[in-house]
Amino acid sequence: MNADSILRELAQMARPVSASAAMRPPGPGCLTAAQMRQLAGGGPTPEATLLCLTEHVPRCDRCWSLVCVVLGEDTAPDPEADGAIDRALRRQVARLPEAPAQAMERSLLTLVLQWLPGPDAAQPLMAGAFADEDETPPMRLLVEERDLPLRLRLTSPEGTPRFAELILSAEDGSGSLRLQADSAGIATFRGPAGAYLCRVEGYGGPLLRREEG
Amino acid sequence: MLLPAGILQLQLHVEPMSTRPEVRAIGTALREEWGSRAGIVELLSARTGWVSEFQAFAAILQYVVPGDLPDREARALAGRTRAVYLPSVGALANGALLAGATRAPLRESMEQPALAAQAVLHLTHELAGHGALAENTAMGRSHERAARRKDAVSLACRCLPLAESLAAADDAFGRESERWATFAEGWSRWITHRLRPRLAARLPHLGEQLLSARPSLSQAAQDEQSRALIRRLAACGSSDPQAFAAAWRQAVGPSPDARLIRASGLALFDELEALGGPEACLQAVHDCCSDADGIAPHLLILQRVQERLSRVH
Repeated sequence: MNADSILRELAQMARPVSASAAMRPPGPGCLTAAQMRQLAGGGPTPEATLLCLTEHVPRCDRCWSLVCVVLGEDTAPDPEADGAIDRALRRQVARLPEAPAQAMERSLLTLVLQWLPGPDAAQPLMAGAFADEDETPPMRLLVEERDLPLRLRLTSPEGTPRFAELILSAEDGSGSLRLQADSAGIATFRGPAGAYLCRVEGYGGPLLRREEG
Repeated sequence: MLLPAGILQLQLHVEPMSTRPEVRAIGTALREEWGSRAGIVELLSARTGWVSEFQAFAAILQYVVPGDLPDREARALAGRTRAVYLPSVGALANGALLAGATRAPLRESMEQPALAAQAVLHLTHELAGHGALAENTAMGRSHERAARRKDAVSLACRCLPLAESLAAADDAFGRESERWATFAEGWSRWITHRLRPRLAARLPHLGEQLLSARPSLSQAAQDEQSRALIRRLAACGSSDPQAFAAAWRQAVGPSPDARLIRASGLALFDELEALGGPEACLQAVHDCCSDADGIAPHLLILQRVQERLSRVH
């Protein structure tokens, strides 16, 4: 499914366009300025944007109105969206500032493997500190709705581990799922939001979160 | 914090923690628990620091652990070591690992109650446990006096060297560290559990977290295993150190598991407490560490456990 087909389906919605709603600041999960530009410009649409179109836009007045205005005649006609409003909103979209780097990176979390699996080597034993936990604690990952879809990038001081498998176990015990990283070490997590314990298949070393920027 | 020259040359940043309320509470809890007995009160002057960079903590371990530890294995070890005690230096918290990040500044990290409580428990384990043995016992001090820093650190850090490096290392050190690990871990875990209520009273904002951390089911299973191990060792009934060491190796296998070491150590002290109350544990530390040349601490404990078992059965 591509953006055009999703938009054609959206156009069937009999939902009014509101100029004031379109002017509102983005909330959690809203389309970003960059995503709006992608849609307006055509071309390939990232999965994250497609997901936003199918799951978020139909129930968000702000994003729905923006999509209607930016895509013009392809969307449902609305008496409110006369030419003046249309032009004003188009200018508004054109003036949307570039999203700050931090916000753009929020959906990309870098996990650092400090020791890659390799030829098994004996290691000195250190009977750990306060010992109510396993040797290497799994990393706790708190995923909010606005972070989704969350891309998890695996890296290590030795390089990018390719095709690694991430295991995310829901902290409430409701289940677990496996994510396959691609050749760039990136795996995409689509939810649901919640607290997860994260580990990498076949890797027993520390897995730490690295803040970008 | 005064770090050894070798570590200072690494230009690592350690944030001092000694004046923080969390660390002062550890000293107060110790004083309330033991008073000035056994010299434990001397620990109150121990320094404490927070290492916020994961790589920095790995570099410290690389410096202090005997043998040549490659970078990746130092990182793996740092990923399992939440805190460490360096004799005559103090306790260092692996802040990054505690926070699950490659970098975790002290101030921001300690604002999170769950993280702060974990840090308090780990530092208690280091200061009241390993620090007490390293600084306040003849055995611990003898290594320091002999300027065998790595040996002293290893004993305090309860580090068992690699079998290969053990062959090349000082035989006496190897034997001693093997005997020492269970005892030191047992004492450190026991005293940490014992101090929890006092720590919670001193740090009410962390009280719930300090008291709620409980051994996991798997840990409970390990404890049960370790009690079985003690019974097997007791059954060997030998007072000869070499025979005991052979029985120990046979019982735990060629590559002793760190969790088993901790669990069996705690079981030893649990047995002691059941025998003679908390005073018996303190007395065991005094007895076992009074010989600067190092006796086999297990033998003394084992003897007492045997006595108890003989009364039970």
